[in-house]
Amino acid sequence: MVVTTMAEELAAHRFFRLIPAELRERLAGCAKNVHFAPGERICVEGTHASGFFAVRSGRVNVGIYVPHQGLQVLETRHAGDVIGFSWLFPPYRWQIDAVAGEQVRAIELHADCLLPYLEEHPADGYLLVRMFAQEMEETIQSTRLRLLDVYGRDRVHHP
Amino acid sequence: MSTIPESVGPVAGRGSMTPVPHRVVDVVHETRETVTLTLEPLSDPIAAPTAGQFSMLWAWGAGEVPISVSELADDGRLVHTIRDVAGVTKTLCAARRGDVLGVRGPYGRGWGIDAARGHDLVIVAGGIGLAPLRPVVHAVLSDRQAFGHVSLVVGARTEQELLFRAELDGWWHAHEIDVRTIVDRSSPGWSGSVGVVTGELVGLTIDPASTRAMVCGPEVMMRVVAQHLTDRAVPASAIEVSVERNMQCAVKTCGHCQLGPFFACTDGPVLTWDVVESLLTVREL
Repeated sequence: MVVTTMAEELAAHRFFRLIPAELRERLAGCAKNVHFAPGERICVEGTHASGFFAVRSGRVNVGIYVPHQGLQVLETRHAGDVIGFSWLFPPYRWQIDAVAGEQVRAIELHADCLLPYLEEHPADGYLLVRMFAQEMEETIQSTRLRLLDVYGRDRVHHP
Repeated sequence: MSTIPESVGPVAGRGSMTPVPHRVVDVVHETRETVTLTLEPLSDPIAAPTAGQFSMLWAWGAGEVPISVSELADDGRLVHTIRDVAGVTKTLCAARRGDVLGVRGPYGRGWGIDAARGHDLVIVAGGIGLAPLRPVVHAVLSDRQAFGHVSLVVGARTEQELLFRAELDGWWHAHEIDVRTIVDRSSPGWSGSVGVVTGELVGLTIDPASTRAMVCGPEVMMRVVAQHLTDRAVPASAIEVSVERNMQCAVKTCGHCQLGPFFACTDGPVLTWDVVESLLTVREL
């Protein structure tokens, strides 16, 4: 059986692979492996955002619960993606719901462990926040593209 | 709809601009606004099209539009999938069995299926863009051993607007190719992914040195897909896209579909990304 350390698992994940090994070691100390069964809620809107998740495998549906309609899925996150920005900012409450669309393996990183370290080491904090900013930009761009409604009726696509 | 009199369309010595009358022999309503028509020639058939080529379909009294071939038949029949975006396409989508349409073609440069043999293949389709790529999937499945790993990523506005749903399910269950679907907006009961097509591409394992890609859909979608693939080191020359331009004559005469030094109707519609990338960012083109 091959045993891998948490730092190695982080290194294998798209989000963390470019960060310096020393920071990865530090992050590994704040991380643990988690599993979610299909349909299991990973985070719940309005509750305390205690950290973020790096998806290793499976699909996570991210959305908002609408009364009498259930979860309205707004986007799907896959292996290599991260879920959760709310742990970075007050009031540290989830703004979204996330539910496992299938069996999900992820790495959970804890804000209680991370935030004090990042406050004390602003260079590392800056790097991590930049990485999150890039994720946010990609999410915003994906949303923009969907707002364009490129498959919409008023556009002719191909011959 | 009004149909062309069967006597219209001289067969002997006809020029490439003369539509050949075809009878509609089958109509399949794929989605609320998309229809697949099977056409049978009433005289000598036009040349057999290849995957990615298109015909000019003429609806009597309405006009003529370029429509891609969505299946290659070997009996002279033509199969076209048409989306109702008003105008001529509305008339075509209202066609019934027995109606007669005019057909010119086939035109254009199609997909490089032969060049893709021996390679991994990433096929990315958005909306009606699956129609011109469907013959590619058929070609792959009919000669599966000739290709490496084959992925098909299909994006649509909603689950209801996914084209060829039964076929997609069949391809997925057969496990011969990796089929992934993603929609812009979820609806009750949808268990697939939600987002843009690149969201599904992220999860694909791609060996850039041996990968070829074929992409068809709205131009914005093709741009982000090509960018994603080149970011992952797939050579731009290995990425084919089907460009959308206003084709009117289909024979490089009217100039409506000119794209810089190219004419989409004859040099395309399938062009490689290294050739078109700079042209597609010129706003006036």
